[in-house]
Amino acid sequence: MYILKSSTINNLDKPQQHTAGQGLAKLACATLAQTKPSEVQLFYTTTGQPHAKVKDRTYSISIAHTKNLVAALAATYSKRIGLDVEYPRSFSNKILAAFLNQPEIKILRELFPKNKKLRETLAWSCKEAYLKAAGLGLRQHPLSLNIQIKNKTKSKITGKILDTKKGREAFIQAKFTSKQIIAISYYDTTK
Amino acid sequence: MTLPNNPKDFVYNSIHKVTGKPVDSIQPNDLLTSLVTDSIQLFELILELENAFAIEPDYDELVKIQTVQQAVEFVEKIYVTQPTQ
Repeated sequence: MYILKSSTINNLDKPQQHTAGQGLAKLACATLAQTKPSEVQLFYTTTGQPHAKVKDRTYSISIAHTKNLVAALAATYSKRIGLDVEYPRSFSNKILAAFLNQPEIKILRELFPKNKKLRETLAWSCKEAYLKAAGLGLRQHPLSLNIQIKNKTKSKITGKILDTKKGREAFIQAKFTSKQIIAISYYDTTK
Repeated sequence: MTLPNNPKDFVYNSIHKVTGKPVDSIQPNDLLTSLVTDSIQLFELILELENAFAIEPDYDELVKIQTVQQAVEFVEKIYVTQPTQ
């Protein structure tokens, strides 16, 4: 997998952020495929999930953008990948209860007792990354996913997401600071 | 939020509540994804539409909505078939 991030862009509107993301995705895929970005063709499935093609080889890609931050990820096609970037933010109790179940809320409070914005945005970002990997977006309810955090350091978590609707398990990994979160989710289609 | 008397006002006011966009700037053919800043706002908007009714509408049906006009038609259908909160 190859991830590229750019925070040197400022004041791009949403369509411009998306175009920048597509450029980064081509660069990430080109690096993985050991070719030039001009050789990379992007295409989208009917559900809006992006992929890339280099000659006759297809690659999984994921693009994420938010204000002043764009990132892209590329991987071989046997892996489905999803990427999300967020700035830590507050959630109302109503929205929190709509995407996190009580056991998840409890575990997150234990792991991040002092930073509510960070733990809640981290959870959203991990679920969003998985939904992008699965090509679902918000077409599947986030409450159908259960986060299991296996390891936590000062700047990283790793674990799994259980998709109760699809009966699937995917890996999650997120790097964070108090100002920024980058979450990745992936699963292998060959397993 | 007090529900207005018609589905169109409800949808437009919900969009305004979540995104801050002035009601009179919202067009029927606008894609909901173009009105929100990110997926969190889109989810908030889905919840606004979902939480207004006594019986939760089918989430799978809600997420098929792509445009403002489709959201209005969806709410119109629900208004006819069930009471609101």
